[in-house]
Amino acid sequence: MSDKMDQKTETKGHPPANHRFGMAVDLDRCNGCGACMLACSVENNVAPVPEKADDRKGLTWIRVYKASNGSAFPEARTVFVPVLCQQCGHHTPCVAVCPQQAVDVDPETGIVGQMPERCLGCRYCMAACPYHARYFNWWDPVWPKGLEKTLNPAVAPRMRGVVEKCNLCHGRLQAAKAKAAAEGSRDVQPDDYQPACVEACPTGALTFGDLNDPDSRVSQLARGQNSFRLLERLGTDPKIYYRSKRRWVRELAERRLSRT
Amino acid sequence: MKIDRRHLLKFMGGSAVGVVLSPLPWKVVDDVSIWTQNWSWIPVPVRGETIFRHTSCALCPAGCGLKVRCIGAQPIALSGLTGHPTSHGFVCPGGLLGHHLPFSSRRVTQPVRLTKGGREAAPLSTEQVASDLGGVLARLKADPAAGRFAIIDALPGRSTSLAYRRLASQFPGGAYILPPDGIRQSLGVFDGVAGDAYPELGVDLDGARTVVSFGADLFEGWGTPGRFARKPQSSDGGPRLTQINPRYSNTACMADTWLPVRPGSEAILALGLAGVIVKERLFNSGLSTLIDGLDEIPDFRDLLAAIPVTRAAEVCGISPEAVMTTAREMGANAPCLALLGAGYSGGPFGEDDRLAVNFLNLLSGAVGAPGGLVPRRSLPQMEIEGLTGDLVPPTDLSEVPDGSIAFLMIDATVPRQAIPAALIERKLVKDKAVVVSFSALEVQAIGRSHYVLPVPLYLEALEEIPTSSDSPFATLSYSVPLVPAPPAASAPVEWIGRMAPTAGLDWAPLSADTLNEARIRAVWDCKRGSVYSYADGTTKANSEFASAEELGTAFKAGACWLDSSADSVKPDLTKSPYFKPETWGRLKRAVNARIEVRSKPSDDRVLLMPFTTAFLATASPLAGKLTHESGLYLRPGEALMSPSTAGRLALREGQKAEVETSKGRLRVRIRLDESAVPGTVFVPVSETDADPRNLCDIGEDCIWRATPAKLRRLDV
Repeated sequence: MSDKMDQKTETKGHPPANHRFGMAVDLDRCNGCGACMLACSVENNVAPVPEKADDRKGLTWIRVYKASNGSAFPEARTVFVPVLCQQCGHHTPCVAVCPQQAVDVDPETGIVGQMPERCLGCRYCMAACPYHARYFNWWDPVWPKGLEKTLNPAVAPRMRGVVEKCNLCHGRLQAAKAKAAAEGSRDVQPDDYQPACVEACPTGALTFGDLNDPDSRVSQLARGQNSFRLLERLGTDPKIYYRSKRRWVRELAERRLSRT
Repeated sequence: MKIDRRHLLKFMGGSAVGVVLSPLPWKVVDDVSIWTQNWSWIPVPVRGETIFRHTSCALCPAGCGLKVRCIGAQPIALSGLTGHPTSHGFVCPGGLLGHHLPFSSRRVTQPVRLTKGGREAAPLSTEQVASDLGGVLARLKADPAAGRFAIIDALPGRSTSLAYRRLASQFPGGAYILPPDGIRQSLGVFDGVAGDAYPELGVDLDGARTVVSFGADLFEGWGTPGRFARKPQSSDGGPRLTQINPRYSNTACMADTWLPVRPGSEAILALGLAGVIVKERLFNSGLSTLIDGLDEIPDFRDLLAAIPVTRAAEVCGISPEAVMTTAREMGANAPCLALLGAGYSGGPFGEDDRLAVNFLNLLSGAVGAPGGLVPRRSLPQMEIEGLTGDLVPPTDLSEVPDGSIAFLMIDATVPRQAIPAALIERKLVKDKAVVVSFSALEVQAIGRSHYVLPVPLYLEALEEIPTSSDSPFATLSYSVPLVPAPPAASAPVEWIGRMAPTAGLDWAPLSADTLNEARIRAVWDCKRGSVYSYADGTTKANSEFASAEELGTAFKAGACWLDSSADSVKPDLTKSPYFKPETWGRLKRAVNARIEVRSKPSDDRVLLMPFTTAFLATASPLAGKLTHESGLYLRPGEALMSPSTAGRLALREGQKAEVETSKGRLRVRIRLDESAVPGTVFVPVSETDADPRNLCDIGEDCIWRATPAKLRRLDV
């Protein structure tokens, strides 16, 4: 695992990232409450969708999947797997296929960003994403009357017909950058901001930080013995690491996640 | 130069290629896409200064500490306070959406009179309400034979609760009713063992090394979830958790061991475990004399002999090895806690289950020991003019005779404390009773009310959050008003004050502010404990506050008072019911009845178990992210069952079916899950007509955990 951590994180056409922001998800601590999904929706103005929508048309930048070990009762066991944009660092599939250059990798942070203003809604990126971590706006963003007062002014609501996804709370990153600039610093440190899902996780299952800093907590967790990444064989160098002491859970990483 | 047709064609061709290679088409596409994203109906967030404020969540008794991000005066996001002494940064999904509640379509903004079973609502003026209801109360006072007055308190222990008890005392036979609370009722087994100064016991989860949980969903709303959720796992030095639950809940998913027992067999498992602990002398060595003394009680000996490990395992549907292992872990890894609880929708466990499970606490030496059940003081008593004299003692709904209540007030200010409508209806005088709800939201508890009176919602008023039932020490915090309440919304005591003149009540004018001030003064007067400030994370001794007003200011800025612990208090266990022979006689009869039922061969029926977590007791549209948008939680009208049971009943995933009990029928859509206990169908509680609790058999003891049902496929 440590060899993989030392991989050169340069993306095509970009200098090496100053930071490599990533996340470690402890699956043994995730109890599937969904607080991360709601905190993300509140922070990023992710609109509610009509009741008729199902899980295929739902809009969630981070989604907690329920996966089973495949055994029958009473040996059946479940793990909850929060899946967000895996922030691929190498041959980022969505970047490669976007005809509009609406997706890019920030060379300073390694964060894969989505610009809905440029998006045409062709959904090539959704087809290319091996993690199903991108979502299409099938409906106009509508909040019940009065609730628009509670929207976060740091994030613009998106229009029907565009794709959106997790950007590790871009609004919070910008606020941290502004704060750093006001304090005379040119660089934002990982401790200066936390994505909303990490802040909200009631059990502390999510850890965020700079994977390029070997002393950071996230970096240590990513190097840990029980750490793995989803579909690692594809070579996309995701920056989201998962951890579990259960072998069957680790083996799921190379298999399809199925709803139970 | 002569321009011929060839030149024209070359020009057109060149232009076409040039346009394609130029940025123009891309610019047009860009502009069009930007234009189409700026329609007038796309909401534009309000900009303004970002301010952080602090408060406590009042949506459940846990009272988690919150940091509130506001733009101007409007809260836009809530997050937990990591340093909070009881919630430790925990906020449940429902709590994260608390700031959406004032905008809910279910918000009650004016008094209404409901007719036709709640289907029609007629708005009323404040004066009309005072006159109508005051008149009804006056007639009830004059004619006690018409029925009794009763009030159900959503959150007992508040200063408002004293006002309710005072109100009930003014009517002959008036009742002040506590809501079903599995924790309070379970720990009530040991009430009084620590003396008058420490009337209750709390749970010291922080010190426990082993937790054996009988349905207590520690991660999903049991007590104060933050106290357990942030603990390290057993492999990292945290407590070992064994979850005993027919449903593979999220807590069961997180547990070190899950024992999927058959519904209704929890008491038998507890006594089976007790049998092993007693036989192998795994109980606390300091209790040898007491435990050996129990052998003098014939029913005790007979009971444990009647439930050997193999029998307990057979009845519960688990392996004998699992029973033995659990019992030995309890003995080897003290302090050990045995907790009993059910999701509030499933209601509390019965008295027999409480006695059986808490006997494990007695055996392990958990009663009165760190890491176990520890004595707790009550909140300091307050003195306020108008609330003196006789107060009606609290009672449980099960103690109120059926068909006896002629006027029922329901404090539904805490939405999660929903009681099945059928249970409430059973307690009313048929066709003549008047039901009045104080509620901020149209929740199920008020569905069969005749009058709904609006009260301020969480974040709209200073709301008192008293000690949570599980807390090991007394606590007090306040939810701070951050947004204005609707003009017609008033605190329940203020509504009662308006009715009082017409009703002829002996009632001094009270307001929510008066009650809050009296409570804060009482806490300040006691000089005990410390106050944790949310804004700076500091703790200050209560005695260091110069005045009650200064303490009040601290509460209004976000603070939590924590009573000092009672380490030196040693409870007298002989005062517990286990040293009375009739307890064991009762348990013996109950267990024999349950074993007989379990021994009958199974037929094609299933057990219906309603369930939910407290987390979705919210009225935000974003809650849909967890249900229909992701499938993470079951939707109303869905039913979870095992594939083997579904196969027996010729049902498939996604198929429509009908659950039928003696109380009615409910259409459901089948969802299959291998981890569901065979023979049981789990249906989530809902605020709609699809509420499975309407189908439940509710016993005399007001328990509705599992009901025999028939399930049949709907071909249409």
